[in-house]
Amino acid sequence: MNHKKKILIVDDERALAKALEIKLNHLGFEASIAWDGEECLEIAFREHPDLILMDIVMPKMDGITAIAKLRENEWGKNVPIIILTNLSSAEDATEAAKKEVYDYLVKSDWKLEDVVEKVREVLGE
Amino acid sequence: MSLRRKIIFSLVLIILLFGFVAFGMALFCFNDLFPAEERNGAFAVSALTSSFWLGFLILTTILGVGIFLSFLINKLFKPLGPFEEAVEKMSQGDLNVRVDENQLSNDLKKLAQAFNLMVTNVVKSREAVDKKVGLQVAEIQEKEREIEEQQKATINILEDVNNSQEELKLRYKELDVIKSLTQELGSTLEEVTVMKNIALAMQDLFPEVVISFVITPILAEEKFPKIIHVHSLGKVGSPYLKKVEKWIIAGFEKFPLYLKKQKYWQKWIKANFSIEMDQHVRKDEESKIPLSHLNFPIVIPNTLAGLINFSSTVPNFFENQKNVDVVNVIMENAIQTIERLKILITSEHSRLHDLVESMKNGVVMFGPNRRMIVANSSAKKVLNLRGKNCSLENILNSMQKGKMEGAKKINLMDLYDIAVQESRLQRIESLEIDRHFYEVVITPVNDLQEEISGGAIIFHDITHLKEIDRMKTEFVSVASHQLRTPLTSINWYVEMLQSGDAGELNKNQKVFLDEIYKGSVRMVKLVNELLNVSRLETGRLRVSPKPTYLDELIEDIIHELEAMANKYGCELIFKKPKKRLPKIALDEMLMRQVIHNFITNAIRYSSVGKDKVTVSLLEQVDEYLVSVADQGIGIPKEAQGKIFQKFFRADNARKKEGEGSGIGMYISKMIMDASMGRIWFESPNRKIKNTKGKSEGGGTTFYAAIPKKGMLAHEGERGLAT
Repeated sequence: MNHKKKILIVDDERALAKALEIKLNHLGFEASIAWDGEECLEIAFREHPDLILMDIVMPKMDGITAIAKLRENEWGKNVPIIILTNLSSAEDATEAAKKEVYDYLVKSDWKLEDVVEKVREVLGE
Repeated sequence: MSLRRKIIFSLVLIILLFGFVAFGMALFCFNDLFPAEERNGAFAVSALTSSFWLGFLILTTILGVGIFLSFLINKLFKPLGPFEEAVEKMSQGDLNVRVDENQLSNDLKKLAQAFNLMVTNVVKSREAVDKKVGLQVAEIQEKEREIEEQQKATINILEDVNNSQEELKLRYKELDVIKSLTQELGSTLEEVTVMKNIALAMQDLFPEVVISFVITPILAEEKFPKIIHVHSLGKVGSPYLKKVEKWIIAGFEKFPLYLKKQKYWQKWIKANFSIEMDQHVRKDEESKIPLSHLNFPIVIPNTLAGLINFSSTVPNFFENQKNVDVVNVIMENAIQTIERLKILITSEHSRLHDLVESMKNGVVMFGPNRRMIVANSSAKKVLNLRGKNCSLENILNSMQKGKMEGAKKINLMDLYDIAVQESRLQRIESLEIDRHFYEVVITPVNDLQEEISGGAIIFHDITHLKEIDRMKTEFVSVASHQLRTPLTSINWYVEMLQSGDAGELNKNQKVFLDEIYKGSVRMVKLVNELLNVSRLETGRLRVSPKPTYLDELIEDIIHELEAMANKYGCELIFKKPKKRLPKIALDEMLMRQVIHNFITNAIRYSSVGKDKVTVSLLEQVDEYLVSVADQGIGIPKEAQGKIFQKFFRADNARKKEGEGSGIGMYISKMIMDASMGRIWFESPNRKIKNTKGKSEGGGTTFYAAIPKKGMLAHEGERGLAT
């Protein structure tokens, strides 16, 4: 059996992160949560998840910085990242980040199951 | 020959003629009586003698008669003799003749009297005429004399006039010079220019004179050059200039007025002169030296502002009082004009200064020579100006260092020139200096005669406006972000409930959850729309047109909305042109928004049943036209004017579909406006029968026109929210 794909959810909003975790775990993934950018880096470099779902607006370190830092890393260069945010699609900072991620989704516009669809797409399932 | 004589002569002739005729007849009779046969010699002789004696008798008779007749005639005519004589004498001009009536018979006496009377009258009238003529002649002669005298007087006057004409010419020329000088002085009070104008004006009057002038540092606060400016229409060499310099120095020494206490004056006085020649002066070392000169000091209240030296190679030129007078007249006029102008300008200046100072915005004004006229304290703060005189260049340079909004880098000096020379106001939307934001306006300044007299730069502090703007944008961003988070929470958890992740649901639970979900989705949409509205309103919407196939875009949208159309029981039809239209510069996201809005409205407000919603794409002369026509409830007349207003929904629309936000059309209009397209609609309010046979509002058609050259790009900061 293939081992479960590890998905790291990075979001400071407890409810949303939890919803994602429940759903993904329910569907056979191994989801874990980081509450801010700092924790994200810590866990990511340690656990090497197969996919990172990154929020932008977070305390301590925001998503954009975290992505930049990840990309500096040997392993981090290649890890697929999907930005999951409630910032609308055209904020300046995210324009740059868009180049480095697989996709950019506005949470309020996406159904949970569609997010899952996207995850599957990235992971090639 | 007198009449008398004529008659006598004629009579004699007639008688003689008769006589001969008679003689002839006698002869003939004789012949008849005595024919030739009967004539013989003796008879012949005696007959001849008889006839001869007959003839002689006749002749004598005739003569006698004749003589008698002539005596008779003479006598007849004798009385008329005096008349004849008188008339003869009269004809010769002698009017003193009278006929002596005493020698005449009674018959002729009356005639003679009459004649004499006539002659007397003639004489009298002649005398009268003579008198009159004499008087007239005398009058005429008198008049002639008067005229002659007047002529003489006139000639005298003309001579006087001639004499003073030369004088007048000179005066006129002076006046001309003064007039043009005054005009020149009016246009600038820059010292060197003023003096130059005076020099040029003087040269008009004295072409051979060399004019040199010096300006003292009367207005300067700093280093001031000590220069002799030389103007000449002829040639000037160093020997000439040396002399002139000597004279000028002497001229200065004569006037203690120049002794001022300021340091720079003292320094200036001690310095040496340098000589600057006007461009037209030709240098010629061989030229003569000046032999006559005149110094004219320019004293503006209590200070020696300058000195003009007039020099000429003509000896005693300036000893001639006439020349000196002319110089004095012109110079005094010029000085007076300058003084008056200076006073006027000073008072204008202080008024201007007060006015400008009272303005909140920063104002800097420059004269036509680009020298700063006034800068209020607000402007000084903005530009961090120190010191009184700041040149236009300095100011523009410090402005150029600030951050200007917009990608294009503008050269401020060019901008200033355009504003002033082409008389066009120039605006910089946002210039950041020292963390303050200013809207900068460069405007030409015209004087009373609408002539350009300089330029002004006005700084309008919009920092607070920018701040508000920023706060608003930030607020909207933050608000929308903050609003979305709990909405996402609701959506996802409801979704999870609905998919049974927390256990089986009964029917009611499903239904209720559905309502919750719908409400939440609606809120999300509203939040998005509000965010877009905010961006559109601040004019910061980014329009990035890219070449797009409009028909493909429409097809895509139709495809996306098919499900919705089915739900409402509508049929979506796309009428596109036969020929494939070329790509058009479109911002796809924005265009999509508009068409999406059109079609969803058409679907929503169609009547229930199999109604058609027709989407058409047409090519017109200058634009492409997208229209969406429905057969639905239409837009009532009273609502038609407000369709594009924010949050407006017509009553019949509200009734039919409670959920709309009223922002869709507003956003569509703003998008079309921002990209230079057009948007409008037609709703004829005719009651037509739909396919179900029911009469309803007549349908509505919405149009969006895109210019063929495409949407206008706009360098906004934000795109639309999805």
